[in-house]
Order: sequence, then structure tokens, then C-alpha cells
Amino acid sequence: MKRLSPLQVRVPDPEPLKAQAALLALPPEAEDTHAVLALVGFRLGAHACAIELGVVSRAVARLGRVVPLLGGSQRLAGIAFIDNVPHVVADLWAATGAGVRPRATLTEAPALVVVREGWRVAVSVDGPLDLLEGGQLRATPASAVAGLALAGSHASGAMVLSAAWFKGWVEGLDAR
Amino acid sequence: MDAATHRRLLGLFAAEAAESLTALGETCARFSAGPDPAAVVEFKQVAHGLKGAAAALGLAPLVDALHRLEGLAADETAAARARIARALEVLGAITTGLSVHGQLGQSELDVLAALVGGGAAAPERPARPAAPATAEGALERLTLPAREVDDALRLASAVARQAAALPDAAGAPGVELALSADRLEALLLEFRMVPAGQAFEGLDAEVGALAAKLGKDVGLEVRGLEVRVDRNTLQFARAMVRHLVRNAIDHGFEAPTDRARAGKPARGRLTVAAAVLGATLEIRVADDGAGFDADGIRARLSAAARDPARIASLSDADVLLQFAAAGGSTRAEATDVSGRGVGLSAVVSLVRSKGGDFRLESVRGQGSTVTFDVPLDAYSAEVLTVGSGGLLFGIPLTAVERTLRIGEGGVALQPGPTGPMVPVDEQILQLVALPTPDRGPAPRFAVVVRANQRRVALGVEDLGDATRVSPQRVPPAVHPDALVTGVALLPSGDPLQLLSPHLLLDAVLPASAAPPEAPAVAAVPERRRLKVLLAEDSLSTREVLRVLLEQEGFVVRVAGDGAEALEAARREVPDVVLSDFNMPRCDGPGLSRALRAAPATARLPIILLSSQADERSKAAGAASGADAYLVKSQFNAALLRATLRRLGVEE
Repeated sequence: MKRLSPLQVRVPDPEPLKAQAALLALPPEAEDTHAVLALVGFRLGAHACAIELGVVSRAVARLGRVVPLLGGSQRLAGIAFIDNVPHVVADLWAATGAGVRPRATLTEAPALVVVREGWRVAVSVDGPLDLLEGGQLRATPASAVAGLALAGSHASGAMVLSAAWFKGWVEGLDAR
Repeated sequence: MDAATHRRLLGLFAAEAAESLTALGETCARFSAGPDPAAVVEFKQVAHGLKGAAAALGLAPLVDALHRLEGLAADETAAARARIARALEVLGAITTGLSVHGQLGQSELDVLAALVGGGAAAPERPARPAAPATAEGALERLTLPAREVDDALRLASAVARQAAALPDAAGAPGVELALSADRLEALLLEFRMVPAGQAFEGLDAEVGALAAKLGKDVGLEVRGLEVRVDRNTLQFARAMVRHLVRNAIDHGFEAPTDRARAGKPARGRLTVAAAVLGATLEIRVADDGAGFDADGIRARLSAAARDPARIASLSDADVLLQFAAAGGSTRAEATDVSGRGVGLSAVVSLVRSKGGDFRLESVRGQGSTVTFDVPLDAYSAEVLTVGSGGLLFGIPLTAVERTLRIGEGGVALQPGPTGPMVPVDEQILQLVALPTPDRGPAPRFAVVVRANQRRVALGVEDLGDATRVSPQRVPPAVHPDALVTGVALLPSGDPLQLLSPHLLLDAVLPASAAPPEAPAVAAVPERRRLKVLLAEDSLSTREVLRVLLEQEGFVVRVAGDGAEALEAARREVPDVVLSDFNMPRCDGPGLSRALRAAPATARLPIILLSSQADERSKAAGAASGADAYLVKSQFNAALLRATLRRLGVEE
């Protein structure tokens, strides 16, 4: 019988995938099953999602003009100014493997701002934004959206993203 | 000159005056404490420089008062010293008022005239109580996180830009707002400045400990401790210096016995020097160690190169630079002090990412000198705004050589082997486009950008104004390949990306394209714009003259003193040199003599500018070989044109 050679998939830039795989392979952390004080709700397409309020420094209803940075990373949408301060723009859709959406779409979309040392990231999501009361999360369901790690689900039905995963994803934006 | 430009220049003058008055106060304190001829000379030079700046802005009463103040410095009596001290305070009030109201306060001018003119007795001011050495005294000083000052500066800059864009219809309140905003920005900018000495504190102990650990004997000399530099720039410089120092001790210096065998003193000499040159901070780290084996490095590069002939044609300095930038190693083993080999590539890369330049010189057996420079003030950059692919970019004015219109009424593109070419003077340059995500229409303008002695014509669709922006850094970890060093928001609300000329040229020009002499082409019919090299140490005078000359159609390159101008003239000979008379490092007559001594510039028209109209200065100018001597207070474009015609310089 002829043996087929193993299938090889060539990925131009494997580092983001490796980082994503490592994050998804993390065991659920204790913090994800704890009660949370408050959540910020948003949507990703048809899916209602939420993240602990303490993870983000602010949320903006409309990101505003997104400018591609000359020679900048293709994994990021570019730069947007929020209150005169430049923010690196990342699209949460990219975490699902869908790629970065067109900049015109991001301009009108809301964003969650995360402050890293010395710079800020605006994570683009879909609206409307909502403030959800916290409480005990329900057991972690299987994620309905590929690529996202969940901490549980909210009484409203929103999928609550794992705070550790979310922070790790933002930290991993500078992986080459 | 439009109102916005005038407001901006007044703001610059006020900021410069504040610095000058501080320096005058310090020198006055020195010669008031006892005979100090050097301090008197320094005082006169600073006062003279400020006088020139005031003359450039047409502030005649200030010019007169500063002239008298210069003379008063020669008076060694206690009464004269007291009058000088009081005059400096009044001058401070006058320049503050100027920045707020846009005009000189007459009552303060009267007081100043009385103080420096020897007229009516100067009004007495109550003595300022000495600062108490108590808790109350401590409350006179505040300690703030530097980040908060940065945030305040950012806001002040945004307000200043928006105020400068107010329509003329806003009237006097608008002017006052713009001047106050400029003044506030300058004040906050000053808060960020710290003496270079702070960055090098503890370096001597570090050098001593490291040398002892490696069995070497190294003495450190630090120069330029008093230079005041933006805090962020200095932090960056300190990191680079520490890296270079560790490398020098680990790899550069020989052991004392080896030094003795080579006829050198057992103790090696390591020098770190900081200097402010124009708008850049230059740092030099020099050692008298073993130096690099340039021939050996050349051989290794040739063996690994696709084009060995090119390596053979490079100068030693270029060979060393290429070696350093590529992460070259002179050692097979890593050490716990500075890693493997020379490891200069990180410094080269970081310096270039800041828009700076890096040079390495070495003589085998005698030592090495690494020189790098970085923009002095990352929070204020003067840029030419251009539009391409639907985006706005800023190109640092220091890198812009000239701009050309393409097509009707401008230059015609020429076909070249790798794309369109643009004739620029006697050369043709490759026309390149910015790699924007969206392609725009055909370029309508070409901006000639120069960096690292390479030139390129950048094709852009739109050409905006020269403007000052306060860029904010782009996180390099997120965008490691970005060709921009910062982003800023224009008063219109449009985001602007600040291009790095060095990174841009690296990206758009193939490595082999550096720096070939392009073939000559036939002259393109276009009205010739005279290229003026302007040397002037006063920032506000320089800006006034630059604006004036550019409005009159001259292409202007600026230099902060005679030494800078000499280097600029060597790189590219201008049509005429317009130089201030008194400047630090190399004054106008010195520049004139140096230019006359070089064959390429021996016949270059040189015009000296001074606020002094005395025969002695004119004679000194003539003796230096200058062609003309103009007085600043009478200077205008028509006078310059008439002088140029007289010198046989045709447009």
C-alpha cells in the first residue's frame, strides 16, 4: 500500500497561531469561575458577549477614524485617536480567525480600551455596548465562537470571555 | 508674514528669551561674585544673540535696551551689577507680556531704559526674602510624575495648535489665546528638560567596577554635563551609552600588560561627550583601546557578500557601519558583560528607529569612536505635511531638501530602468511612492528627501504646509516594521504619521542604490530658485529669516552655527551662504575663512549678517573673505536680492 506523505500546512506567519493555541490550551483559571462585580456587554456578529469590567480601562461607543500605519503590522488595523491620544487598534474578530475587518467598519464600531505599559490598545467589537450586573457566572459552555476562551455565561445569555485569555490576547499583539 | 506665523515666531522668541535670561542671570551672578572676565564675555554673547533675535522680529526698543545692557556689563561697579540684575527681571516681565499680549509693554520698557541707559534712577524693588529652610520652604517645590508633565504638555500642544489655527476673524482675543497657548507649551516643554549630567550619574563607578572585574584599568571622562536635554531623549541616550561603555570595556580595551607592550599608558581612557547640535543631541563614546580590524572585517564581509566588489569599494567607515548594523561579532564566545561580540546592531537599530544617525570610526591599535545622534526634542517636530494614498504624513523639515511640482509648469518625469525619474538640478533621482495600503492618483509633487547622504524624490499627491506637531510614539513592539516614528493629530482633526527619513530610504531604495551619483540630464525649464544656506544660532531669528526667504522663493537650508553650516556646505554647495556674525563653536568670519580655504567653496558668495554696524566688525568680515556685510535691522528680501545681483548671482 502506498503511504501518503503527511499533510503539511504552510502558514506565512505561524507565531500568532502558536500564541493563540497556547492561550486556548491554558486550563481554566480559578478567577474565571468567581463571581464578578460587573461586566461590559457587546456583540461579535450575532453572538452576545461580555468581559469583566475591570479588564478594560474604558469603553468607547464609536472608535472613530482608523489609520493604517505605514509599514505597520497586518494583524492590526492601525491607529485611532481617542481624546487626542493614539491607540493601537486590534479587531477582536481577528481572534476568531476571521481576519481584521475593513477600517471603515471599525470606524463606526465600539471599542474596549486596554492600557498596557506606555501605550493603549482599542479592541474593536460590535455594539451596542451594555453594562451588565455581575454575580455568579454559569458553568463554562463550549465556546460558540471559535478562537475565544470563555469563563462562563451571564444570566442574560451573554458569553463571558475569560479575562486571562483576553489579557493574554492583547499582550500577544506584539508577537512577531 | 501672516498673523499665525507672526504669532508662532513671537512664541518662539519668548521661549528663547526665557532661556537667554536664565543664562544671563547665571553669568551675572558669576561676575557679580568677583572678577570673572570669561563670564562677562559670555554675558555679552548671550545678550548679543538675544538682541539679534529681537532685531529679526523688529522689536526695536528691545534691541536698543539689550545693546545698552551689553555695554553695562563692562562696568564693574556694584551699582552697575545691581542694575543689570534688576534689568534682567524687567526683561523677563517684558517678554512674558510679549507672549501674552503680542506687544511690548511701554511702562516696562521705560523702566528698562532707565536701568540700562543710566538715566533716571531705577525704581527699587523690595528685596525678595530668602527661601526658608523649613517645611514651608519645601512646599515651594513640587515633585510630579514625569508622565503627568508629558500629559499636560500634550494637552498644551493640542491647544496651541488649535489656537494657531483660529481664523483672523477671532481678533485680539484669538491672538492672545494663541500667544498664551504657545507660552504655556514652551513652559511645559522646559519642565521636561534636564541636564545631561543626570543621565551619567554613577557611570564612573560602573566603569570602575566593570573594568576591575575584567582585570582592566579604565578612566572615564564625561563632557557636556551641563547640556539640557529632553528627559525622554536623555533616558534613551543613557541606555545607549551604557551599552556602548560596557562593550568598550569588554571588547575594546586591552589588559594593562598588553597596553604596556603596545606603548600605551596602563590606564585606558574612555570619553563620553554630549553636545547639542541644532535640533539633535549628539553623543560620542570614544576609547583608546585596540580598535577594529577593518581589513579583516572587510575580508569577512566580502567572503559572505553577493557582490564582493561593492564591499571592496566601501570606505573603512562604511565597512564598520555595515558590520555593526548587521550584528557583526569579533568574538566567538559570549560574555556575561556584553554578550557575544560587539553587539552594536541593537544600538544602530534603536538609534535609527528614533530617526537618528550612527557612525563608527576606528583605527587599529589606537581606539574607536562611536557617535550617534537623536532628535533633541521628540515632542516638537517641524514637518512638511504631504498627502499620499488618502493618508497624511509629516516629513521632518530637516530632511526635506526641496519640493517640485510634477507636470505642467513643473518638472517632467523621465523614464528610468526601475521606474520614473525626476530631474533635480544636475541629477536625476528615482521617484518613489510611499507604500500605502491604498494607491492614490498619480503624484503631483516630488519631495526631495535626504538621509544618510542618500536622496530620493518622494512622489505625493498633495503638498501641505510646514507645521509644528507634537508626535506621540508608536509602540515599536507592536509595529516593528513601521516607517513612522510617531503620530500626531493636526488641528483639523486629521491624524498625521511622522515619517522617519532613515527608515523610509532604507525601505524604498535598494541597498545597492546607496549613494550612486546619478547621471547628468539636460536642464529642465524651470525658474531657478536660489539655494540659501542660512547659519544662525538664534532659533527665532533663524525662523524669521527662513520664513522671509522662503516666502520670497528661496530654497533655504538652515544650520545652527558655523560648524553645522560648514558641514552642510561640504555636503552640498549652496548658491549663497547667509551667516550670522556671532555664533558659538564657529562664528561667521570663521565660517567664511573655512569656506574660502576649501576649493569647492572658495568662490561661494558669502554674506554676513549682524546686529552690529560698526566698522570693526565690517573689517573683520571683510578680512575673513566674506563678500558682503548686512545689518539685521535693515535686512529684507529686496536688499538681499540687490546684494546678490551686485555679487553676480543670478536667479
